[in-house]
Amino acid sequence: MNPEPGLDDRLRDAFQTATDTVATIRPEVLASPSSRLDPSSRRRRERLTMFAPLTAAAAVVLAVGAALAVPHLASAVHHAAATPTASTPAANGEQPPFVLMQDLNEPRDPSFEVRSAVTGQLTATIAQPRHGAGWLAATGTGTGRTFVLMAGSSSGIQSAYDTCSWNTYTLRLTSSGTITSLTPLTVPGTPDNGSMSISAPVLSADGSTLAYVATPCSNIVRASYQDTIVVASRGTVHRYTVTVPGGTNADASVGGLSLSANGGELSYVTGETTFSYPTTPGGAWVLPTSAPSGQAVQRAHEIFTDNTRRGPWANALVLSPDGGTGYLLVRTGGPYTLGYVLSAYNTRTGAPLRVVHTWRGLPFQTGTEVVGGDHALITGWDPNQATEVNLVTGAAGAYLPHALAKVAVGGLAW
Amino acid sequence: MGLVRFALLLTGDQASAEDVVQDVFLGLYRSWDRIRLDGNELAYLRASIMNRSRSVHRARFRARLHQPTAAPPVWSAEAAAIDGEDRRELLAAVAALPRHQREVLVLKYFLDLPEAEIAQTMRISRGTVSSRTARALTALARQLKEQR
Repeated sequence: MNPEPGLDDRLRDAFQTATDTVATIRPEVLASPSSRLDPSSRRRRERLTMFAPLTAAAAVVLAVGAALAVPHLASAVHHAAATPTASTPAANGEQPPFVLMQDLNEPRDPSFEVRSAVTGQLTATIAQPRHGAGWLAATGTGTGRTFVLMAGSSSGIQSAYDTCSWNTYTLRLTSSGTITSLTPLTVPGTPDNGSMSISAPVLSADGSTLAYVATPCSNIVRASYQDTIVVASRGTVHRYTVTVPGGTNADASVGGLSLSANGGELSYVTGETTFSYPTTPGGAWVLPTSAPSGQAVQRAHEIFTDNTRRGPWANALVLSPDGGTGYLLVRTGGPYTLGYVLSAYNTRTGAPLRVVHTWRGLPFQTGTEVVGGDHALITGWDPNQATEVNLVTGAAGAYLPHALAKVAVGGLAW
Repeated sequence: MGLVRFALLLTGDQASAEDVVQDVFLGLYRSWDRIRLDGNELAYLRASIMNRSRSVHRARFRARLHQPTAAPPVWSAEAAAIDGEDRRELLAAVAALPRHQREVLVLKYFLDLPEAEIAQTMRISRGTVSSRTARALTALARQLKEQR
């Protein structure tokens, strides 16, 4: 029995109207960034923005001081022979020297670009690894010099989605940002290629530990969805299964992995997102990688829980090199009222230590972000369709944006 | 356009919806020699679009860190493309439902599928279709009352 009279008809009407609206309205002109402050034009842009291509992105890079320990890559994981990275870029609080950006201006062939994290200058382009394959994701070690890239076979237009045929590579850069090597990385503990997809790969700064999320390729509906965090370290492989609390929804997921410098601590975020808005409680967690395989929730402790309805929502929790501090980036508000709060937590006790910085009213519809040690990369989708990549640094005492590049940013890593 | 509209209601934005449908057709083309549809092409396409849309949501979560997320849903206050506060309110409430409830409502009230076809598309029993629909409507009514 319908609990509210007329709801049936209202649903039919609303569904029809929603689809009619999109079918008939088309963007005419994208307003120029110079008219940003004009409220009427902004409203108009807001109406148009929903039709914008996903390639429209902007980024800010936030440097919040302190150091990252970046020794060199060991070879405990079975990747190709590791070359020590040359320096410790953030020893005096400076940010890693290079950023990896995926340029989505070419959606069928989105290569990764290496750019200076200071000037935005392009130093190298990482072409597709082979014919018929495309880059899916990249993750850095926080050094700005060593990255893990994932490539998948192009199975369709949206090849970035749940591609289950993948390969992993290690990218190393010279001190000038050119490519030293791009070598296949054999991922330990991987399930059969084709049955599972992997995502969010992360390599510890010392190269001893690799972690990633394995997800069944099947899209069959199930009462709950389980992801597995696989941690390969020094010849051993541990698997931790994650079921999102309250998750009877197949959208539930786990991601945002981060490791301490020696791989001893792992952090991750859980959650569920529907139409860009989380609807199932998620959170940010820390787990010792020495713990035996099993349910992650029994071995990890929670640092933060999402407020499902109003936020804030955990976007990333990244560990300090010693694993003792977690830098939690939470998102607040929604499109056009987007804000972020970056806070430090004691990962052993879960106690908040301090608010590092707060950003409010960012001119982005939605944000994506990477926190690296005490640094954060925040990307967003600019409502004005500007595609600048901005460097924001606290070095001068204020977090002022500085344009790095004009590319449609997809993936970002350092 | 009907399939794109269906995908739109599942994904929330037109670009994703078009990509989903294009991908589904591409997949169908590639596997044409290997699958037997026996006249159930439309049901196959509907189920494929639903599955592909689920992938979009999962990808959006993973994209939190590394990729820009999709546009705000077409009916959101931010998008403001739908005339009428009531409609936006209702669609926002639908968007907040668990996905399996949302899907059953779209199949029932947008595609006007009978229960048996909804069950076939979602690969669930007819009884589950009934119970999910009832729960979805109850949750919607509750949410709408809370918003007033």
